[in-house]
Amino acid sequence: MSTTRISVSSLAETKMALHSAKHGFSNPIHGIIVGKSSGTDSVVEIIDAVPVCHEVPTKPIVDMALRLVDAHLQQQGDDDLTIIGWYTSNASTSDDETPNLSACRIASAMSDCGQGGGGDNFILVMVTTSGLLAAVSKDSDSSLSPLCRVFQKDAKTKAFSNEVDSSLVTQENDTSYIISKALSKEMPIYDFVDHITNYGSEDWNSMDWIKNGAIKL
Amino acid sequence: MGPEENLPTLIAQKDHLNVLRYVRAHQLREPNLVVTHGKILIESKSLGDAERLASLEQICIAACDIGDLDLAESCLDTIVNPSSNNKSSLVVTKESSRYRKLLALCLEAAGNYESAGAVYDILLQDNPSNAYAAKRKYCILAAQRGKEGDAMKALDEYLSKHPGDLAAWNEMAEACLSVSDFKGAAYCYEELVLGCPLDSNIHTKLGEAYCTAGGVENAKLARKHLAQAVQLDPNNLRAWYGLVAAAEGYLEEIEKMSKNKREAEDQGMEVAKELIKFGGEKLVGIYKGTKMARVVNAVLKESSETL
Repeated sequence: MSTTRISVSSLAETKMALHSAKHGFSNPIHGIIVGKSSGTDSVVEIIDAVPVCHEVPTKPIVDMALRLVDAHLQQQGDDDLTIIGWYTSNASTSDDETPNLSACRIASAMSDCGQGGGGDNFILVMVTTSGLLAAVSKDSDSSLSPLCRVFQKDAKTKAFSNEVDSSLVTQENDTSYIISKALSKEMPIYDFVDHITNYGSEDWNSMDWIKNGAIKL
Repeated sequence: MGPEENLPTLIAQKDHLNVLRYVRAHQLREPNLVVTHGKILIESKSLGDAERLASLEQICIAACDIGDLDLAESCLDTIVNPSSNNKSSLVVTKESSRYRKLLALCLEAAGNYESAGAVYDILLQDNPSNAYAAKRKYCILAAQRGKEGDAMKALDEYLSKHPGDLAAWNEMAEACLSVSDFKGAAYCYEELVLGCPLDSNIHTKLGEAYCTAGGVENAKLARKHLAQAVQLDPNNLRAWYGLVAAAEGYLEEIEKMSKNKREAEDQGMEVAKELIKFGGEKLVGIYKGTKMARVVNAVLKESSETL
């Protein structure tokens, strides 16, 4: 069991929830997690999420998206903010057990390349349907069904099967309220694939997939 | 419906019948819209018999899509038992195959896969070449966790009997991708390319699948198909990105080869380097003046520096 402590910002959770809800019709979703991760004190801060695709990702898509986001972060100038993980949600809404195969492969490849503070703290986040439902339903206790389940690499098998216990994953206050408000407002969210497949359309310029600036909490 | 009608106008005019017709004609997936407008429509007394049945069918399917099983069931009931104030000259019995298809779909939506499968089996008995029933049987397997292998076998069987069904090849390609079988996906996309050789998007997907599969030969094929994609549609941004990525992937694969084998690929390397420059210039041009220009320029500068 991992002893890493994870904190998740409302912004990141909202974006992941919106991305997942937008493509709820049997499409898997994938994206990049941006934040701060220090190898020494085993604390990982998830600060933002950049949606990449709503289909099984292929090498060109993943490579290009990662490079673009990396360049963007470098140009932003905040030295600590880097790519620290990958997030996904499974195609089938009833499948909340383990992250899908492609996400695990991508996470393995990325952590081998040394992303995320030397690779060992690299995280794979899975957005669960039960978590989404809990966030929007007013009466359930959202701590029972967390929106995000976090996985890390097992040192021996190298598979991303070590789940971080939910008690070690902290959300900001009022996250459920923020998420349900964003979902009901149907805030627009765009991923990298939206951006590259809609070149030439009227709203291409507004498909701001890296920052998704239209999402205001 | 005149040529000036579009969906937002129809919705604003509360023209429920034409909203439903528009969605049907354009084959859109808008279940919430259909249910909202459909519920009001079927209360209307001025609806003709054929329209009523078509609308009920459409609403039933939409209800299954959003999980409103009560509505779906009531639509099913109304189809076979029209109420007394809607005396219809069109009688639908429970043996009707169109009704059965709808019933089975509702059973699927309710998760009752066994009963749904049984109905499809009856339909297949009556008509062994019933493509719809065979496809739904595959869908039932695909919907269940852990049955990907069985689902792909069922789809494979379907494809051997209906090799011209391009939509099924597309479905199979996606099934292969979901189990990370990129070579298999490429095979399926090859079939699609045979059917639609001038479709830039299919060449793009094929190229991406080969690029992800890995290996020098696949990398070459990836390069070729992505080059074909941009030639067919110079505005296919996805293909341009893919072209640069595939050419780079090819060079990476060459690096892994032994020195003697590498010499045979000299020409290929020249082509790849040219493609990276060509694709890079095109991308920089596309993004000129846009918000992402700086980021794209940085990435492409990096890639041309490593050449």
